[in-house]
Amino acid sequence: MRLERLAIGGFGRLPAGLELSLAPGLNLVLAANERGKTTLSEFIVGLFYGFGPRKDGVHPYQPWAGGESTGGEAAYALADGRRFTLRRHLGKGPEQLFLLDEQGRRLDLAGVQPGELHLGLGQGAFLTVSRIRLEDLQQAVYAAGGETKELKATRQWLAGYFFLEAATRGQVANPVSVRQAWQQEREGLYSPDRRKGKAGAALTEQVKAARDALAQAQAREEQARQLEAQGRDLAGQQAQLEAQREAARQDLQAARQAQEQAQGLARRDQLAADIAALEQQGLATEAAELKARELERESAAADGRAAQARQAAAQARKQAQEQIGDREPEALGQELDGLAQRLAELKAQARHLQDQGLRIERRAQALSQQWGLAPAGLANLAADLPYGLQGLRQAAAQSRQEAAQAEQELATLPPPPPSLVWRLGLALIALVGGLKLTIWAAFALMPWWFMALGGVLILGGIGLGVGWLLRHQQAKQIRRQRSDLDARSQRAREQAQAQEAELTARLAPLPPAVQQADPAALAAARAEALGLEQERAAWQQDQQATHDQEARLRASLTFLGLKSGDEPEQMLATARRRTGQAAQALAEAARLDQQAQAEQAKAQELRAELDQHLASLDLPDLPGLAQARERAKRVEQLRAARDELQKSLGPNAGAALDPEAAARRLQECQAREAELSRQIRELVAQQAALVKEIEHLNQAQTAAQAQAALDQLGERQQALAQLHDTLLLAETLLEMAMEEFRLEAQPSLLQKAGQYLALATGGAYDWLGTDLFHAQPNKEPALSARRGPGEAERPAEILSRGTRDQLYLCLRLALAQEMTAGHEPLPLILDDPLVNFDDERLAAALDLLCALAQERQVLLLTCHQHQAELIQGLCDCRMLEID
Amino acid sequence: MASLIVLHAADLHLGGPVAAPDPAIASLAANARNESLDRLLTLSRQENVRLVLLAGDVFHAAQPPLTAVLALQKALAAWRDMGAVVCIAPGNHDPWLPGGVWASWPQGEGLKIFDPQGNGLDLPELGLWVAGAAHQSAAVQEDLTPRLPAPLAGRVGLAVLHASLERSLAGTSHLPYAPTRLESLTSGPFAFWALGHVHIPHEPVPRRVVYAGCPQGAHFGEPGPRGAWLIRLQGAAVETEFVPLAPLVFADLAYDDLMPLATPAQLVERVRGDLPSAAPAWPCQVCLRLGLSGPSPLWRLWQRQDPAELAAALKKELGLAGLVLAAEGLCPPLDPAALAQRPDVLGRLLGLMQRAEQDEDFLAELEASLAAGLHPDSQRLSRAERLARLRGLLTPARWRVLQGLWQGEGGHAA
Repeated sequence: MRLERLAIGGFGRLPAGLELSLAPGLNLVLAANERGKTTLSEFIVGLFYGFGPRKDGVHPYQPWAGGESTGGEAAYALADGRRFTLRRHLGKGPEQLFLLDEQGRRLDLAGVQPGELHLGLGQGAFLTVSRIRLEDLQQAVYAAGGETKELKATRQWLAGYFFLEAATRGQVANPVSVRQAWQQEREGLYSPDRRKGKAGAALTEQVKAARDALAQAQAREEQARQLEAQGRDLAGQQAQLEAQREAARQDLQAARQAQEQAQGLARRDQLAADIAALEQQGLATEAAELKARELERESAAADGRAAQARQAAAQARKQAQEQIGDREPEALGQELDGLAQRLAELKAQARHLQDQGLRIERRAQALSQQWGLAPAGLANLAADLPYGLQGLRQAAAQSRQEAAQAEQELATLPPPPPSLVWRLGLALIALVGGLKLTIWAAFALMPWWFMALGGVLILGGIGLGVGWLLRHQQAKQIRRQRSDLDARSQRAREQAQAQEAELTARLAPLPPAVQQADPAALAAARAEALGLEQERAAWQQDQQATHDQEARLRASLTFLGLKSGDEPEQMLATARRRTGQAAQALAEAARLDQQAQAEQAKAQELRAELDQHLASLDLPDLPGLAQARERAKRVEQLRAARDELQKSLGPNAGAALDPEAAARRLQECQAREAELSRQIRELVAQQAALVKEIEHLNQAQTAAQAQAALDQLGERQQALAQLHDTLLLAETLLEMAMEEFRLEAQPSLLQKAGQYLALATGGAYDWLGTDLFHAQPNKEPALSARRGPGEAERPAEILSRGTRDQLYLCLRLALAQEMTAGHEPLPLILDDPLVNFDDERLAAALDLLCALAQERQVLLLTCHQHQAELIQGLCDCRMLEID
Repeated sequence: MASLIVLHAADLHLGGPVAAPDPAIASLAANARNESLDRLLTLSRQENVRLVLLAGDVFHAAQPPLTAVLALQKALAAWRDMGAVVCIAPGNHDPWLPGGVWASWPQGEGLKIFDPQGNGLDLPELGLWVAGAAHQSAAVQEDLTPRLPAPLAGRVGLAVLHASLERSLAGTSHLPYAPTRLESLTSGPFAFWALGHVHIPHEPVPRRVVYAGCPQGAHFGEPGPRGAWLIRLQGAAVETEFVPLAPLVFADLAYDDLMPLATPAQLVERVRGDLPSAAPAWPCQVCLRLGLSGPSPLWRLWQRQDPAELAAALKKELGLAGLVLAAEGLCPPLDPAALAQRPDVLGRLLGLMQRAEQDEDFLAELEASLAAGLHPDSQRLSRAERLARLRGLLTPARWRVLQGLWQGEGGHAA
């Protein structure tokens, strides 16, 4: 980057409106103190990195001459030829910053400073590399008044840049950064500093918690063991109590047996007393009861049978009455015999009529088959029909014959000749032409043959006319004859058609046999049909008479209540069957009456026998017998209970026992057993509670699990310690490698600085060393110099002030040269750094600056006239006025 | 003549935890021990086992939780219903203590719990004599084998004991409780020794001395198939068969030679080849801890993608129930020895690491300079232990160096 123009809008001591046009090489500002040289360098830095904050509301570089705006602008060009204009003003409001390209377009800085954008450096690095002041020349790295953070950042950047670019050519990461990353990672794992080592601390906390958990788990397990021991004790107590309870139960059983024996003896005595009382009331045996019950049952059965017989007799009589009513069966049979005889006579007459009807029907069928008409239809034919039909047929045939004859005559008649009217016209033409020719010849005196020709034409015309007339008369006569014949034929055909129509009309209702019959045969058939119809009428009268007789017979039978629709024979048979059934029912009723009388007598005998049996038992009646029997059964039960009780009491039973004492003993045993059971239940409940508590304890994390978790954490701790030590080892070895590299492989930066030092000191020193990449980040790097190979290193602190200035100047110049090699060349702003140089080394240093000005822009600010004169004598130099 | 089948198991650690380093297997892990016990029952039923030998540490603690006690009660009832006799020799985790779980355990039919004095159980119907002894404390230091009564005449002797054989303890974290010597076992009158304590199933003397191992591994420190043994006896002849039963199998794989693996598929293939395979009859879920470290072409992949997503994809591809993936040690696929020749800081750093590995004096200087800054756990170590620790840390430190510093080809973006 080369500054081309600087315009001051107002900045500290510098006059507002000052414009400086800079040369691309060496520029010299010669001004006395308090004229603004340092302010100018601050102005340049401020343009690219900001003017800094106000202090107490006032900016340090507020224009001395007044005015509200602080700032100005710079025009500069980059190595690639691009040009920009940078404007920065600080007024009452926020800072205004504009970066414009060659076309005056404002560029977006996206929050970065123009120096960072175009120079690739932060402010600290820029101040270290590009601006060299006397007051900070004693520092290898610009500290900006001891700002540790800035110094550290600049140092880190410088170191990283050095190793990255100058030492490793891009294949190895910045070892300083790597070392710092490792250090941070390591300190994150473990650090004596409690503010660090959070991972290790957290793990330690986890281990502590795991140990606590283990202790708790062990305590729980110990508690569980104690509870189990308690449980075992309780189980022992329970066993003892159960043994006691078993003994108590045995005592209880014995007491219960004693009480039962006493109760049994009392019960036996009571049973004996009950038996005696019942025996005194009287007992009945089962056989006596059975006999009495049997007699009672048999008499009741005889009564029942008698009642049944009487009921059956009444039922039979009712049935007989339903069959024949109140008639006597014998009289009714005689009446039925008379009716049967009448019925037989009617049947014979009916069969005779049936045969007669069959004969008539056969003759009628024969006539019907012969003539296609029923006899009634045949008889109904008109008497003149057979011969009338024959006359009609003959008349029609005669008319047809006359029509055929007329048509034949018409066919023999010639047709009329044609009219030939043209002959009549030709005749008239010939006649008129002959007349005209004759007249014209007569008056014109034509030759005679004209007259002759005229005469011929007239004659010819007359001849043609006559011939046409004759022909016309002949044709007229022929047409008249044909018309007469047509009329005659037409009349004959119409007459024939009328006759045929009449014949057809008369024949239509007649069957074909009648239509084609011979008139004589038809007349005979008609006569037979008339006779047959008369026979049928007589037969029907006889039939009706038979039916009437049968109806009267049927009416005679309906008195028995038979269905009138049944056949008379069936009705007669039914009447006969009913009469028979009624006779049988009446006979059965008489028999049943006799049986009822017999059963009634038997029942009376049985009742007498029962009364005799009860009297022998000394019992009044059957209920008394039942009660005696019940008492007997009760006595048997009591005896059985007494025998069973005696058996259970044993053969030695009978000793006196006190039931009350036995009951008291039993109560005592029951109370003891209950008390022991209660105690056992309590123990069981306590054991269950213990088991529950133990289960609850076992559900928590076991000591083994806690120990496993602790072991796992221990493994993690070991891994953490191993990683920590690995990083420490790597870090330490890297540090050693970097130191080795610094000492044994002098980087090009220091080689370059050494070369500058040799030039600046006139060869007094040719080697420069620094711990720039080794020293603590917040400490200024140390410098040392050596006069030549094999000479001792001399720390900068023991060198003269002038030599130290030369040493640091050369290091800063080398830094600028190294770091910008291949990149944007930075301008060098030298603010009177050469004041402590003697004349010889001043000349050498200015000569060095002239050489550097060939490669980058140099702005030398000095208040020393002889420096200005000296450098102007050494190389081209643009003088800039700031007053 | 049919074989008599004996089930030999040990170190059931009922009531003990099973680690769930991946939350996805929490439920599986919580139920794994009981499930393995159920599988022992199923195996017994399938094989018509007549005798069950449980060689100690049936419970994880001397006073086990009630759930564990109930689980064993249920199992013993099932074995009794099968007609199998169960013999238990309590171990150091569940010693026979007066008033303890074993002393108060009801001695039912078909169950023999050996006490510290040593007992024998005559099984004439099987032609066997089973002898055993219990641990009487959590840290028995004496050899218990002399306490075992010799077999009766005409009986085949079987011994069941929770004991330590020096050779079997090598490389394990087991403490040498009830120590004994292999010669003591093989020279004795017993045809078969059913041992417990070492959780790795193996046969110090094939068909004669067998460590059952645990039926269920507890954590990544107990990887691989775990189960029980079927012992087939035909007279005095013994055949042994290990049956992997564990429903949850831990696997712990660590690879630091990943340069040949250029793709995730190759990594999956290699892991799959190294995973334990389950027996078809006893399906198991696998929880894998996979450590990836050292130079690897996969480094780039791990830089670009979310490690959690990569772990999830790997888990799915391998069909794992759980996965703990430690890939922090992956670094760019570089040769540290070649890089150590570079003149820059990285080369010098790797050179210093080589020197620390080879030069004891330099390592000692390094330890002296680092001692004050080491983690307190390391500071508590002796100097020799710290030196050994530092030597061991050089390799992971080298991977960290490559991760952090290298920005060239294969490294992370600058």
